[in-house]
Amino acid sequence: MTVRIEPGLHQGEQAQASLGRGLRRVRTRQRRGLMWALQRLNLTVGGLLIGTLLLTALFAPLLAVASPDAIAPASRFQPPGLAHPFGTDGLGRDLFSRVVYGARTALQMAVPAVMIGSFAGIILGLLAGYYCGTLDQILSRMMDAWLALPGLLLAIVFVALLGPSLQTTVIALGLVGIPGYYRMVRNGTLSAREMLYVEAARTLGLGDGRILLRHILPNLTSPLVVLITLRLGTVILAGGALSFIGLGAQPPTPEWGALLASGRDSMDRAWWVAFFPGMAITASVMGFNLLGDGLRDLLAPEMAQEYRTHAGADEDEGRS
Amino acid sequence: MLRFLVRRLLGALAVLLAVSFFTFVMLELAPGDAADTLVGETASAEQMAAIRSSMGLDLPLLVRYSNFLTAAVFDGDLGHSVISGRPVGTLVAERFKYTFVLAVTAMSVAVAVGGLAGAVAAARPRGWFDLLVMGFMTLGQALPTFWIALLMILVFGLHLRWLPVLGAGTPQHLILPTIALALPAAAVVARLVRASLLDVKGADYVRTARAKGLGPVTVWGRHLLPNSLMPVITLIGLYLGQMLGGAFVIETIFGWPGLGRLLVQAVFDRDLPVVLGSVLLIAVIVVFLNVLVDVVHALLDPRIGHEAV
Repeated sequence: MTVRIEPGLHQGEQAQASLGRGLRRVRTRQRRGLMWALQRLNLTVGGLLIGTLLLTALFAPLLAVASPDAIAPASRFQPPGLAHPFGTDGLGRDLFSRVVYGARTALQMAVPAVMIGSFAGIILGLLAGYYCGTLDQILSRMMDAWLALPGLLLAIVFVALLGPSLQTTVIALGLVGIPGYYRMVRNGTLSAREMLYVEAARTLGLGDGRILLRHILPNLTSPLVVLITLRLGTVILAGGALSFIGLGAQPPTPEWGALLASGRDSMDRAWWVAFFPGMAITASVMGFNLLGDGLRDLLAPEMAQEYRTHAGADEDEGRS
Repeated sequence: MLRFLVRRLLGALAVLLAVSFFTFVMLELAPGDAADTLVGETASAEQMAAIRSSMGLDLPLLVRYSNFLTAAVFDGDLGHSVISGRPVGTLVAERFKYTFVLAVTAMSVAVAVGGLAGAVAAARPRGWFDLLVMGFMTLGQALPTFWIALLMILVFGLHLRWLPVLGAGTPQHLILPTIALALPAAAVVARLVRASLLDVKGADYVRTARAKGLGPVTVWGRHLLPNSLMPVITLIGLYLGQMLGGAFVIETIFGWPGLGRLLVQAVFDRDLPVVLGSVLLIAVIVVFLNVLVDVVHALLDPRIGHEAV
């Protein structure tokens, strides 16, 4: 910022104006510091949220004040209070305990789904990128067709095929994720196969399998970790949406989306049933998003542009 | 340009063919066929066989697929709903009108609100408004729309009783679903507009324009906005596809009689012809919207059409 001389001001006022600008500058710098902290905060806040999620899932039996399935007709629709921190639902079940056990359901859904999707996507991507040619053409066209449809639509087709349940949700959301990993690994492998270290490995006479798994794949770890982290959040959101409309986990499974759906009919009497499970989803999804963003800035800054814009549109299963 | 268009259209047709084939085969693999849904468990084996052959269900899979495809393409015949017996084409077309209205309204709101917020945020990066917008974007990407929808129903429908929460008919019915659908889209649009404006702001030609002494209005209107528009158009196309593809969740919550709700209900009823018909219509919309986005890109940026894409 250049020093400006304000015309028509006396010296004292001149000094004051410059002091004001100086203060403003300090404030700007503070704000900039805040921005910097905010960027690092991604990692911290995301880590804290996800840490809480993991601990909650792990120690659910200790945290829960009651069994999540214990029905108590006498205490139906108790408002939040000391005995029931989140209140009770229409069957007198303790909502806090159900939300706590919901953390387990969320991870039981997200982790295997992401494992299915990443495993298939990575293998296919490695093969397509390394062998190129017809295989690449066929696989890439298939993935394009796969991506042409909204993610949740594909998931619903799978549910139509297999019937609604938690397992179906896991399989459906897993399969829906394949093209994302495929694209990343295929493009990474395609450029890696021209690199000197791959050439060297080939000259040493190493087999293709060994080159792919021991040399190329490890170099793709950082972007994959970021994608998987972001994807975990997406799956929780999409799984919640499926369960909410009745096509995912079925009652009485303590699943957050299903809990919200059950709170729908009694909203006029008991707002809490339709409130707290939503907080849990938001916190978890935001946790994975922030953690993914933070990891990206740390491990794979080159992903920043591309993946943010994509995460907006084609990772949007939970929202529409 | 013409070659580019033809290539894109052929590619789109190939994708649609693949989608229709996979969906058809997958739904055929589903346990229980249309005959089961129609007569249930009361019919004898001979009756079932007679119904199956009358519906053409005993033909080989590929023959049935090609029959289905020829009927769909040449006669617009997508079969009949197993539940209501009405033609799937009519059902889907009726419902699509509602989805179209909701999607276009929500997208317009999202672009207006998100675009404005993103532009104002980019004008003073790291200012208080920017921080506010960025905070909102982080939140907006994590908030489940179905939860926002529930909370809005709770507040505006049940407590304040300002707005109807179920069904369609009056413009007021449109308000809550629109907000629920537009909110996360607005967050993403704002984020993208901000990022791409900041990206373009540092470009050499903008500095040149400023150095020439052009006023801020010209710099923004003639140089910044058109160039930052491209990624936004892609996003709008993708998002509109998602919304037109049926906002399943929002339509289900608000009882909005659109395509998404039709599909969800059909899945519950195991009404497979309706599932197939809605999925195909959605695929057609999404795929052609993608082509449209490509064409608009090529028109805005002459470099694209000439590439050997």
